[in-house]
Amino acid sequence: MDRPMFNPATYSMSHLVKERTRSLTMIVTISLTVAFLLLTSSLLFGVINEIGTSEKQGLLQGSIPGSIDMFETFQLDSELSERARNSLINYLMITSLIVFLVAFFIMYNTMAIAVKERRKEIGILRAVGFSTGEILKIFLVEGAMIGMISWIAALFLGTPFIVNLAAYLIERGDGGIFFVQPVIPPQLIAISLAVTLGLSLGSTYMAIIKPIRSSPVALMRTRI
Amino acid sequence: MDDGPFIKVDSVTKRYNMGHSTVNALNGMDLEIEEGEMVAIMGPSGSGKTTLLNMIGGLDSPDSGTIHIKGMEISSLNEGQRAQFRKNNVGFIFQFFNLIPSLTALENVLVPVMFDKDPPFERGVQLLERMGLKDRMGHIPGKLSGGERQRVAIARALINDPMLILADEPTGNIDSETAREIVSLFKELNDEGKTMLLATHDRIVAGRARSMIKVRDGHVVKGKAHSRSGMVHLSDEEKVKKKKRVVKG
Amino acid sequence: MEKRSTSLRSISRKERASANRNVRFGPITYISRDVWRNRSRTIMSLSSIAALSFLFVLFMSMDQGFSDFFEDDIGVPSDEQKELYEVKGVMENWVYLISALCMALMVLVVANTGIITVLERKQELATLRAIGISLPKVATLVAGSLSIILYGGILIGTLLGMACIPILDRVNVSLFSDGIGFPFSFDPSTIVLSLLIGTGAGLLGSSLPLFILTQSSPLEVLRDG
Repeated sequence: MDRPMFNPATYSMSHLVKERTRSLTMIVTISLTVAFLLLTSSLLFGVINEIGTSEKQGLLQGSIPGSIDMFETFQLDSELSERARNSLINYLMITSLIVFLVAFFIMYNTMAIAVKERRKEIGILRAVGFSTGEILKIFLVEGAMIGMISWIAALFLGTPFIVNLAAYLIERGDGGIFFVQPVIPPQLIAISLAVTLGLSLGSTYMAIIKPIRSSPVALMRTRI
Repeated sequence: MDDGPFIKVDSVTKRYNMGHSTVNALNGMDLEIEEGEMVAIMGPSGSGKTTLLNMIGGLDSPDSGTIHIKGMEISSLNEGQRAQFRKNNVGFIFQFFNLIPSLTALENVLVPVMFDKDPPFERGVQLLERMGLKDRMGHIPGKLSGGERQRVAIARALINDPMLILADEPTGNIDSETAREIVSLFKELNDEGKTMLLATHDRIVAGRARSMIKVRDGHVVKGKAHSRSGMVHLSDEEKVKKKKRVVKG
Repeated sequence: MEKRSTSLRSISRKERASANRNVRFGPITYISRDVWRNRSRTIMSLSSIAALSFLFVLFMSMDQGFSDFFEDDIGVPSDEQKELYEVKGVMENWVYLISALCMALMVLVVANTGIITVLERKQELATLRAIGISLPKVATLVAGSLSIILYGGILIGTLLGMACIPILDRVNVSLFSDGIGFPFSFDPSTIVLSLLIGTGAGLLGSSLPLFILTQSSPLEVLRDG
């Protein structure tokens, strides 16, 4: 017989699977947000890239199937439009920051209810001798897992979707020949990972830190 | 009206699925209770007392068998009809009080009638006054003691003037002194003609009921002193005390 | 004048207090108590919805601003107009994209708040059902709390957006890269649109929590923990 695997990771994983709806909500929220953030900042990087060199290079080029062909049809020939376009990108960046805050709230909310439902479980863990730090670790591992899954989803599903959607919408527009080709440099990928983990771990920490410090007896008492 | 007994439980079974195994909560339960009775239902945990109360109160429906209350078959009602039935005919009292934490005592009492066109506001006040909570009406449950909470719950159960009151471990979460008070309150209500069913572990409570049934493994345990319905009729408390001694010995 | 107004206020406050004593307890009291009890979360949900509808109003007004800007002018285009004309073409599309994103997130916020309400108050809602309040009425109570958050948020966000429009109009926003000022103008139809989008999001978002509610049994009352 195989030795059964049991560690914080498998423990968290079992919870994520058990609470599928909740996990999915969190993953959809974070990946949507991060994908949007990626899109706007890739446009910003596109602008920066354009200023530095006439060649438009980036990881995005050719790396996401289907997305780039559309952008290749746009020629960056207008001198006048650049500042106006930059202004639009500014607004989009502000939007994505606001969206980021909303996503943080949704994450926090979801985590808070997960913690609340598992108060008794936390109480039992405390009662059988887990320290506050160890329980915190279990929940943070769970948050990190959600973060990683969302980040991967954002990178490989969300971004092409939004980029394609944007490309499609731009193509349909009548003033069309204006847009910047989005660029995703390696540092943006690193930044997005950091942002995603910050989002998921930060909200998890905020949701868990107060209940985890109450006494095991109070945690196990569920009725009012 | 109907000539049959007030409550008639006829070969009721109920199974619950617990993972891979099934639990027979009720196993061919037969029971008849007359109007105006005060019956204590005793039995160990998992014997089916709570399930029985839920069935009679229309919270749950049996897998097989029928339940008639005052000649009306409640086991075949749908969810909406059962809600209506519970509202008009049954007063529930729970072990954990189940008060709404954000509402004051008076508002908690008025919860069952909050959707009514003309809620009996005055009745709520009177009931709380009767429960001795006149100066506690504006308090939220968090600021009340266990006994006070249970009395608010009793007032809530009485707001619609139900003919039947079902109490599941009503004294399970309060001290014995308060429990005694609660039970005498029950007795008072019974004197006013309410039919009371109390599921309990507590011998003080059971001893002060007018009759008692014992439930084990989902059916009524019948003994020598038991009537056809499985009920023990107690003439006074002495009898119970004697019985207790016998049990202990 | 001053004195009279204060005395009037104090009378009305007194009246309100006495009215409170005689107030009949009903679903509205229940809903408002519920919203107040979870005020920290109510505020967070409300501000999320407000932020999203603010963004919606912002982009709608941007689009409207562009239309207005080019409507009045027929003569030889200035450089600013040439610049802005390039954005005008894509503006409408971005408005669609942002609106879709806002609506998706609004659905998530409503669903999230609703699921929390239903799960956290599982026992309370089961108690209501056990003591004879029918399922549709319990659902009304839940939907009522959600509506307060949703429409309150939309109201705040839209008002905030309306207040920001004159401030943002033609102001150069060069936060991340060098840009120019965009024309903004507020069209009253935006209010109707954001209410419509909010209602749609509310219906979509509340369907899951209400479904969870219908699937639960009044027997939850007895379940401990």
